Amino acid sequence: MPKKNKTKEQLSAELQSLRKQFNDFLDELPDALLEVDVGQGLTHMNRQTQRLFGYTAKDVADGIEIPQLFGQNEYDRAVKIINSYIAESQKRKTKYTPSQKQKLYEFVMRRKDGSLFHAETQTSFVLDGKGVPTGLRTIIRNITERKLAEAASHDLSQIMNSSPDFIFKSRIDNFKFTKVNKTACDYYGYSQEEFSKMRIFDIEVAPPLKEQVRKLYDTTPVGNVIEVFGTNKKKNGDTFPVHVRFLKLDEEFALANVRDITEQKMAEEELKKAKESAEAVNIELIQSNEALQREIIERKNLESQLVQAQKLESIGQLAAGIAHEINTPIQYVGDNTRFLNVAFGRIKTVLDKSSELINAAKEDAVTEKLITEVESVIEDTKMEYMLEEIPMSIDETLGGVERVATIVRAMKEFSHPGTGEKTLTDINRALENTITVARNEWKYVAELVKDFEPALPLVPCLPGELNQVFLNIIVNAAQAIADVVQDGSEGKGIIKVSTSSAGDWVEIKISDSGTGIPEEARSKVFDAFFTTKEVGKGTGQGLAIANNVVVKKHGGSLNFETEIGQGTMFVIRLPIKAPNN
Amino acid sequence: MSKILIIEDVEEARNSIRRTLEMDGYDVITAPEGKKGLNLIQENILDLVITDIFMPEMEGLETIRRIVKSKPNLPVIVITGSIELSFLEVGLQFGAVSGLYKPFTPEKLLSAVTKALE
Repeated sequence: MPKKNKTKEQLSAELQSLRKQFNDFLDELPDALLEVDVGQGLTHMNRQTQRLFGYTAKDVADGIEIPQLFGQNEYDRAVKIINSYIAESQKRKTKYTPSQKQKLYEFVMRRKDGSLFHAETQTSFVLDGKGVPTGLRTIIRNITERKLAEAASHDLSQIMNSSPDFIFKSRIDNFKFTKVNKTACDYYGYSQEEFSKMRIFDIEVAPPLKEQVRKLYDTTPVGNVIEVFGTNKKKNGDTFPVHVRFLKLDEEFALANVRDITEQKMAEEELKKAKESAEAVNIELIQSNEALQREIIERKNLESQLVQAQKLESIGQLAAGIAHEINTPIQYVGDNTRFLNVAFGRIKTVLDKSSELINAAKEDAVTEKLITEVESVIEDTKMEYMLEEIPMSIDETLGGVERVATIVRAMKEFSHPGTGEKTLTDINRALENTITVARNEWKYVAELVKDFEPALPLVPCLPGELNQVFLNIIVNAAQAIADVVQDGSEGKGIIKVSTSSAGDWVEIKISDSGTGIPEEARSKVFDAFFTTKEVGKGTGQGLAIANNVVVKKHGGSLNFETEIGQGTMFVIRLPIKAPNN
Repeated sequence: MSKILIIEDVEEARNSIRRTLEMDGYDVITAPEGKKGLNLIQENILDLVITDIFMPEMEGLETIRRIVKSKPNLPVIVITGSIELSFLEVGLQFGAVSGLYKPFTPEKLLSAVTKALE
């Protein structure tokens, strides 16, 4: 260029042009660059910076205060840093060279809209001819994402390290560990570095085949969790059982969560042992329960056998009385039949003689002699007597047969063991039977008065067992009276049997005019084997059984009232509605 | 004609025994129990008493005892429907001349009666 003095205007235009070139150049830069002058403040903000902060060229031209680019307190920190540089370089009394001090600093910076972002800055100083800083240039990078990633990574590390489980990140292609949490390092005894050289098989005792693992990786979709159990070993050789859960993070990495389950296994063992011993105890319990059940059944059998035996015993005792009862009808039935036989013979004699008379009458040959003969036969045969006695003896014979039938029927109904299940029973009839069967016991010493409520409601009961109860009480009544009446010369006593119903209950009262129950005996009346009778006259089971039958088996009640010298009354109450047994 | 008293609590038995004896020609009166029987003994001249052991009001044995005491020459035959063997023996001990178990045939009864009246 020719050396001639340029005009002010020319120089100014050149300067403008250069400036523009310079600005364009700066605007083309991919980095955000800004320039600050000590005196003038922000002198330049390239396009990237504008974009980064959200400012326009106009904003820049209007003027941007530097503090507004920073987040809270960050400007002060920046100023401090710059001042400390300047102070340091002054101290060293060296020339400040730009190339030396290009440290990276992180700041929280503020955009035009007020939002904040993390930025990394690279600053260099602008020097004058003498080396004194007149300003600075800064390259700014938005590191928000990086920061988040770091934070996330830091969080993740914290999580990983705070986990009591062992967390292993490994490569899928070569099975090598890439990252292991602190817990694992401490437990296994390897450092991160050592781990980074190891593969997953190296911590396994009896590791699976590579092919198997490969196959598993291949067939498992990303994100699926697989659980396996195995045994791992520490650096020092100690082994321990583990529960591993691992998942395929992506096609490159797998993450495994490993837990030492030694305690769990021990607990499992204990549980197993406890279960086994509980099972053993259970089996024992079942066996002893079965044994108990068997015993209960046996006992029930024994009980019913006992009841039956007692019944038979009383039947046996009654047998003599019953034979006695049957003997007399047999006596007179036999006598009467023989009598009727003789009577028949005599009547035939009279008929024959009468035929003779009729024949004679037909032939008109009736003679005085014949008439006298007929009359004499009638007298000899005692026809008048016969005509009186024959109907009587027929009646009495029939009555006698009926009497025996009644006794037998009563015996049958009385001693029928029953099905063991309750049936609706006519209590009046049951009492009739029992009274009949026991007749020999009371007839000599007492009048038996019945006062039955007609149409007494049927009672669900075990008739065989109830008959036994009635029998026991009636026989007791007769015996109590016998003690008073003795030989009967003072007259007979009274046994009264009555039935009535009220609401859901049927009441049976059996009273006697006997000796009454002495005071000392009253509380023991229902005790098994308690008796006031002499040897041979009862084993004392009667009332105990009666109590068991009425109260336990029928849900009823059995009570008595007694007075010495007056007598005793037993009251049996039975529910009309069967209780739920 | 010999007069016989039957003391028996069952009416039908009283009647059938009575018929047996009457058909054989005996004169018969009856009582349903001991007390009434004793009254009849006092009121009548009797040749024989047939009595049951087990009866209400007055037990047969007591009756026998009293008859034997008050009328030592009046024979007593004791009868019983009881199957206890000892009772008849006891009756004999009390003074009865013979005893019969029910049921007895008319022949047995008549033969015992004949014997007692000798």
